[in-house]
This record gives sequence, structure tokens and C-alpha cells, in this order.
Amino acid sequence: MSSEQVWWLILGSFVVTYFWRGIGVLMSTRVNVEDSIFRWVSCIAYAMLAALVSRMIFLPAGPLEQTYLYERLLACGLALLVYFVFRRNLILSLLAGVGAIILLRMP
Amino acid sequence: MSEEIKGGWWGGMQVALGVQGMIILTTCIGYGALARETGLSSWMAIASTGIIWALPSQLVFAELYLVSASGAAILLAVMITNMRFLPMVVSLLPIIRGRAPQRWRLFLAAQFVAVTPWAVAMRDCPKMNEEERLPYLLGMGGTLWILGTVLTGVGYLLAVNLPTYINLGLVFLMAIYWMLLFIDIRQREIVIAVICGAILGPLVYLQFPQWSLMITGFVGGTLAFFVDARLRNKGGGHEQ
Repeated sequence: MSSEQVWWLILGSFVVTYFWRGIGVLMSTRVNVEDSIFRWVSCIAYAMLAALVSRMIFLPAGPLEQTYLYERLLACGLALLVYFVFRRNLILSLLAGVGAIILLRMP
Repeated sequence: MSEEIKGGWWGGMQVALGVQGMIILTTCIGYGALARETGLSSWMAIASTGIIWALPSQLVFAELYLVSASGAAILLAVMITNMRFLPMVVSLLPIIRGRAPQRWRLFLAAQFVAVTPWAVAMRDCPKMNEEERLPYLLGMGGTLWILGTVLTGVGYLLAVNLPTYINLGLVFLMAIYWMLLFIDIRQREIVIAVICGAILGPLVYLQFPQWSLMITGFVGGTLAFFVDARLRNKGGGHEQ
């Protein structure tokens, strides 16, 4: 692929991404916060996000494929443990989880 | 500028420079590093964060580029990955719109809607005055956007010295981050949606990798919505 083609693809990715955001703005004027439709689309958004995260943990694609399932589960477990022990300290929990992966993968 | 509007901008910028900023900082550095491995140029990596502003789809882009997927396949994958922005923007905008918004501000705010700013705005905005909400999102989103774009370049430059095992940790950070956000959700239908999505996601992915996010979101979200409605009718004492 030539570098010019890659630039067009980046521009195209912006268009197909902003498409959803822009449509969202146009559609939102007709939706009330208390509407059932609002609650339904929230459910869809959260189910999608949960699917993405769950897939990253159980069936990752890309560079994470190099890691083992037990390593990813261990990292998640440690992050959760720290999160509850240290009163929902997000940064500390993230450090624990990321640190676990780094230590496990360190040669 | 009224005090409320100033307070909104200021509050948003402060949130962006706090925990959320640190997370964006590390994820964008990780993405910059990953982009370098896939063979994108530094300006391509920086531009992709700056104009796409949706990290999961940027990872998809870089990954598919790495395996020489066709342009059409890349665009379709990015489009599918980012379809979640439609329900996200639709659910956030009624909260931040206020009484008489300027349209261009709403369209600008929509560009800043990515997972982290959205989750933070959904959490904080309902507790604020109406006039503060849109400036809050613009201040937070704008700050994160500038930081993230610059730090993608920083990550790209760092990648030369960043070993793979650190990169793996940085990529996995997003999964841990979202998992922790899910833990704090209390709204019943959303809790059910998250559980359905987490269970269905990998299963559907095995059968339909390209369409798994859309299928899972639609099926899991709809299921959660109806289960919640059913519990409500039974007088389950729904509070929120």
C-alpha cells in the first residue's frame, strides 16, 4: 500500500467514525433522557463495550495474542483486588494490572 | 462568560489533567509505540489519533494495516468498531445539551466523545448545573484530545527503546480500565447489559469475528432492556 493510500484510509476512517457521532447529534434532539429508546441504546452501547473488553481478556487479537489466558486473568484479578483493598484507587489498580503483565512477560 | 460556564470549562480541564489524563497519556503512548511496530509513519500515527479519536478502532486500523488487509476491509472494520458512538452520543447529548445550545458546539462535542470522556461525562454531568455541562465536556474532551494527539507522537518516538513486554502491558491497560469502570455501575439494566455483553462477546466473536460487536451489542442490549422492563413490571423497586 502506498503512503498516499494510507493517508486516504486515515481520512476515510475519520469520515466513517464521525458519521456515527454526527448522526448521534442529529438523532438526539428527538430523544428524551427518560425515554425507553434512550435506555435501550444505552444498553446496546454498554453491551458492545463489555463485549470488546471481554474479548480483549478471553480472545484477544493483535499483540495481546502473545500473552496467555492465565496471565491476563491474573492481571485482572490483581487489579480488582487492589481496587477493593485500596478504596477504589483507579491509578493504583491499573498499575497493579499492567505491572502484572509486564512482570510476567519480562524475559 | 458566566461563572457556571467558566466553572464547567475549568472543571473539565482539571478532570482531564487528573486520573483520566494519566490513563489517556499511557494508552496514547502505547498506541504510538504499537503504530510504529506496524510500519505506519509518525505523522500517520499522530494524525490517526487526532482525527479518528477512538483508540479501539485505531488499534484495528493498525492491526489490519500490518496484515495488509484491503482498504475496504479496514474502513468497514473501523466503521463497525465505532458504531457504538451512535448510542453513546444519543445517550449523552440530552444530558449536556442545556436549553439553547449552539449547534456547532454539539457537533464539536460529538468529536470528543470517546470511551473515557463519555464515561466521565455520564457520571459527572447529571450532578451539575445545566449550563456547566457542555463546557465541562468541551474542556475535558479538548484537553484530552490535544494531550492524546501529542503523546501518540511521544509514544512513537519512545517505541525505539520500549521493549515488547512493556508494550503488552500498555495495550492491556484499556481492558483493565474498562473492567474497573463496569464494576462501579449500579443501574440495573446497564449491569445486565454488561453481563450479557461480556458473556456473549467472545462466543459471538468465534462465529462472526467481523460483526461480533454489533451483534452482541444489539442482542445483549435488547435482552438487558427487556429483562429490566420485566423486573420493573413485577414491582422490583427500580430506583434510578
